[in-house]
Amino acid sequence: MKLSERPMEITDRAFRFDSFTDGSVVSGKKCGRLPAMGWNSWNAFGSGNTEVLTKAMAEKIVELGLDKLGYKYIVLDDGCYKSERVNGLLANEEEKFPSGFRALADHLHSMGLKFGMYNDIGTNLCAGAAVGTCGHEREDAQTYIDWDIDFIKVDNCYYLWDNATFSNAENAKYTYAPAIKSIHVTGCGVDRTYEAEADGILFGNGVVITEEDGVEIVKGIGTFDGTGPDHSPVGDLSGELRFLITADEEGDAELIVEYATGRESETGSWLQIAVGEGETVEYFYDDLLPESESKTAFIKSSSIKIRLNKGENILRLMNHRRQENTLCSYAELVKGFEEAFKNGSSRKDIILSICEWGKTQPQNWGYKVGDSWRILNDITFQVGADGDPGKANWSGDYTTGVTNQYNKAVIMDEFAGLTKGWNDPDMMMIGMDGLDETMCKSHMTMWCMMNSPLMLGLDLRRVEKGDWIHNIISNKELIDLNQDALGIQSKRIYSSLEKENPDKVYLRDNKRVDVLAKPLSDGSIALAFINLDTADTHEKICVDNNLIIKYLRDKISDPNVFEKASSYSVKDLWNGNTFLNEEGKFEVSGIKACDTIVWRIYPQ
Amino acid sequence: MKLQRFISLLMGNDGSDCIEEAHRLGIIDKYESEHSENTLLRKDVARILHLYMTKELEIGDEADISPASVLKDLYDCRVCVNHIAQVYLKGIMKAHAYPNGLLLFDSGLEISDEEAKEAINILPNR
Repeated sequence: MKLSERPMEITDRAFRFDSFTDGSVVSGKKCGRLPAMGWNSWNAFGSGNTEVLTKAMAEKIVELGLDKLGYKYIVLDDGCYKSERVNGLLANEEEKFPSGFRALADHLHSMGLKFGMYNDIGTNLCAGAAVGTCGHEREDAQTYIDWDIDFIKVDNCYYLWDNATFSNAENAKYTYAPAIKSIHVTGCGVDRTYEAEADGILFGNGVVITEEDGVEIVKGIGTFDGTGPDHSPVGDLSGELRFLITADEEGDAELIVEYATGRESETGSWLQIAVGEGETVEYFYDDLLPESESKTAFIKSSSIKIRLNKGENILRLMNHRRQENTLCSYAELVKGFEEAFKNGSSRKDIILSICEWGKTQPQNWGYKVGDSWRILNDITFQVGADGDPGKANWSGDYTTGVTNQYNKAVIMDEFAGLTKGWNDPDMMMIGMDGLDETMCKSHMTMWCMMNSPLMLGLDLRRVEKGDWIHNIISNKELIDLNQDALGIQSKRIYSSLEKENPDKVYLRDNKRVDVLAKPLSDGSIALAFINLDTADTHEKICVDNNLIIKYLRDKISDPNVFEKASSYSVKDLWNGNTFLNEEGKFEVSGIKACDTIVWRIYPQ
Repeated sequence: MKLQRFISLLMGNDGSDCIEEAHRLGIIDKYESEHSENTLLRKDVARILHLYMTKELEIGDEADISPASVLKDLYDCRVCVNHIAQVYLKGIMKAHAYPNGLLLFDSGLEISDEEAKEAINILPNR
């Protein structure tokens, strides 16, 4: 099959950047689901998972009673397919999965479990197999329905329209606009050159004025790459160059852009030109521009027709294609499922787990197509194998570590919810080497409080009923927080390192204590005190009901009941102790290294 | 270097069965065993050498791979980060140094004959 040479034309406004906040979802996306729970093969076995191992994990899920607690999805990650398509279709790797995927699905369903698989929006899977969904969305969706899947995790390697993992690095040309020196507008009573540096408005974030070879230019028109941990996920994540054009009359005008192209971060070749914003936005150009000789050799575009209104117009030079293209690619798969259902396949729920590693800021658009979206690159790169539990970190380099993922996810609560989906800080590492019992307790607490998908990532044959790992992953009262019907991710209402805006500020220094608050459907509140430091803290930390209400007033089912309660019944969700609090002040005096205290607080 | 040649050198076996043997040991997968004429990239060699070390030579992993993050492209290859980190930290495969002190593993480059032979010769316990 010949692959397209450029991203698809976007004709549906629903996929445009300006529609990201409109709350609409694509046909087939179901709202109201709680975070998925189950087991995924990657952290346990990497590419080495097999049918035998998968069945053994399923048996352990049932034996340990985990299925009864909600761990239902058994997900095959990378490494399960034949390396190339067979007659254009996906096929099982016959050595590892000799019975085929439909038989495995039937087996798991007969056990009362659900079956999940994995693919990629690029040409290949991350481990290399040339069976990505790119260009095959319709037939692959039908195949997955034939295999009776209930869940699909979709990765982002070898993606054609971004400089993703294993993609051509020069694909950055699609994700950033060219550097802009000036524009010239003619028509509607305007005949003027606007210098980017002097007349332009730098809108959003990341767009900068810089000097190249003695010329002042504007570059960085595009969207931040969120794969790594450097950028906050809150606030503007992309930048535009805008001009205010005052027209004497309504009508057509001509625009010429003086630009220089590149194929790297901050300077690309794809330009979007629009007038207006939100519902009134009109696009006049959305394509690659002819390339300049170098990224400092400025050239003039052909005349581009635009339409101006009488009075002031916002002329936008931008490139939101990084987000729009990725959204469109995931939407193609959803459309494929819908088409298969319309063609006679029995309709069923299929969870879509978006795994583009936070690269294109999916917290902005993921809700339109998916049920959850990864927020960063992997939580560990030292995955296990049969006989090797793999290695995990509490705090590691880059994105590797419980706290590395938590630090970003904890301030992303406003992006999540029942009408949207869930921030996914990756599969859990409980039971891997490198995390002790205390760390695993906190790991479980964090994921439950943040409404993260609870995907176990360990070899369950290492777990026995009643051992410390089992006690942690089967803590029903913690799971109840994650699966609470209200579906609200906890909010950080206090941090020892950020007193003013603990819910918004991106903190990466782990020498701190955070307090998270989570409203629950019965009117109670879960409150978690988390010491992220690897040293004990003796600090006294107190939050009162006023602080809780301040942050949760519009989320809690009845704030007056909580605020005006005469007393509070408090239950510790790790040790089961209960006590009465009559003051509405919730205080802890010291927390051990990496430990957590979680209370469920019932107003009386 | 082609996979067939590399595996022959690695396993000290010029016979036609060396690919089958490598597959049996789990250091190459079925697809690779059926495409032994394929040219190897540096990331492929890192993976094969790492698996050979763990499965055949029984050499344990470096527990802390964070020192390998001096390689600015370490995390570009999500599924081979650990393989690259292990062979780099054990001194079996070297990084490529660029101007301004930039150190890259260049996982997507074809491996040269010299680099491949040198890596095999450095393998401990062999």
